[in-house]
Amino acid sequence: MERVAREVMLQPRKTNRIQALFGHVAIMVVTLVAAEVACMLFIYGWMQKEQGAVVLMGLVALPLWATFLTLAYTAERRLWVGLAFLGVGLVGSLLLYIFS
Amino acid sequence: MKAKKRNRFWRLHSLLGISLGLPLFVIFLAGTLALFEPESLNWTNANFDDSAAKQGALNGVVSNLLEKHPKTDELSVVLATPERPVTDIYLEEAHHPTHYWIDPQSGEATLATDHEADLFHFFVDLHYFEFLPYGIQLSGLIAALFFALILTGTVYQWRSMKQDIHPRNLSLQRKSRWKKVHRFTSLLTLPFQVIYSVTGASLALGLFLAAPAVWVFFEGDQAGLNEVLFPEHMVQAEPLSEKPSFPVDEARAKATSLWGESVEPLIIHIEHTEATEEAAASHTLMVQGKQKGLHFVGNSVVTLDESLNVLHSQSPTSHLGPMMIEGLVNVHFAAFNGFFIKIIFAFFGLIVSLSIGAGVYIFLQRLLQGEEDQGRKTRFLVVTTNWVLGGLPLAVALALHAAQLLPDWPVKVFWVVTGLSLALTVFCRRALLNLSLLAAGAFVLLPLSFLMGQGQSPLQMGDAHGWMVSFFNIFFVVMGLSLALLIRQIGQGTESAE
Repeated sequence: MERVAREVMLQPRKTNRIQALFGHVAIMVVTLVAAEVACMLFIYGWMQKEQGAVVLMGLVALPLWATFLTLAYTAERRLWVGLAFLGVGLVGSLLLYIFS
Repeated sequence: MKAKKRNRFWRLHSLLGISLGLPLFVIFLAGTLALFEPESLNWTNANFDDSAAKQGALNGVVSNLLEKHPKTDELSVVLATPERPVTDIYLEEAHHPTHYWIDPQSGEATLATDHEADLFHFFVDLHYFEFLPYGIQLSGLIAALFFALILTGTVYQWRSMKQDIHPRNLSLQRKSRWKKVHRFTSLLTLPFQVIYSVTGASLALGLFLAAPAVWVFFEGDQAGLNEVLFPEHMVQAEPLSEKPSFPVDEARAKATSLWGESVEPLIIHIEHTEATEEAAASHTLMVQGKQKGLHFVGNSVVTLDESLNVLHSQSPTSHLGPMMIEGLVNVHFAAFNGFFIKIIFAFFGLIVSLSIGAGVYIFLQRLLQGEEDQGRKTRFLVVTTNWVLGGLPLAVALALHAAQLLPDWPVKVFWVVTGLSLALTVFCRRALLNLSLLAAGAFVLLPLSFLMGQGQSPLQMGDAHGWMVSFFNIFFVVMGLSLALLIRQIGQGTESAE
């Protein structure tokens, strides 16, 4: 009886799994947007002179995204770090919208 | 750094390692062999020797082909080089590609080895998971996450790096030999891992990343981005004649006269523009050349119309976009015009494969030690790990044998051996050890298959073709012996995971 109860308790709840999946997807998207926006802001000045600099964005954006992901997953307060990346993405997008 | 924080890095490193380790092993092993795709012809079709590399007139051959394929839209002639001693002709008729090459004996265009049967081309496809839907994007994502794997591993091991890299600490006799091997090889290849992950991710996922850039920097116009990245392709010739011509030899001569002797023409590409009510049909010719010698970027391109007027000219450093793309490709594929650099990259590619294999094994062993009652998940991990680490090298080795003895079958042999090794890992004990031993033996015997299949000596010297033949045969023997040595030194460790 005790064993059965323990097994039932150990079974992961489906809602938690779905919530966790949404959480992972949200972190991935938010960090990717933050990395892309940061890269675009970084090359913005250079792009006015030489548009070929766009290749640099492709080179830097993915390692930067991986770094942001690492930071998000190893942070003590994941929610705050996630919100910080969300802020970077939103503010950066706004700046790019204003500039362009 | 606090132990708690370090532990978080270790947990993320483990999680990424256990989920990406096996696909990364496939990417690295296939990628190492794919580096030699252009040169592989010397080993798989040894009758193409240095005599086939001599470049004769091509107009007659191209005209004959176009009579056979009158509705050709695009035609590319890839000129022979000492590394790949055959002239290839790729043509596309109503979006159907056909690959010819020029037979060294007759001088005529004959159908080349079918794409599906070209083993080294298959290794390129395997490197990009092209047999899966969105395989290239998937490999790009794995390459990007590989960067996170490198980062977490480096941060976690930062303090003990000096110890890890010292060969004195690399004792293969100790209980923790897999860990030592993983740490030593990871540190040894760290710069290469960063290069492979950064360049691989940006090459495979470049288009995905470019999507927002098109909106911000090019006002939503994709053609604007294309013009920046591939300006030579965006120029179109004006129609000049009712019956367009294919002056391949003249285009090559014109490019040589423009570039001088320091640049060698490599590719001549002709694009056909359909006739419309307003204009006659036309051809745009594009000649691509590579600077001789060792250069990080060395591509020169000239786009011509049918009367050989220059429409667009590009030197290796004149256009930033193409220059950076060429640099990325050259770094990722070790294509610096030097075969020695390729060998160095291939060597480190194999060491990275070993590092990844050892890393996956550490996680698996830890998982098995921690669980007395092995569940389905653990069993699945054991089987897949043994299958990929043992079955893939065996499938590669036997497919290489088939490339010599059954030239139409190498890719089929690869898949059959992959399937059989899966069955072996499910039903047999010590499957990894047995599969690895078989793979080691198969690699060592490859020169014998070359001798039987090509009727030539496995060790040749003198010309470039001879050196390539010798290199491939020695490379495979060294690979087999290294694998055997590895099994002998640390192979006992495999028992605990089976």
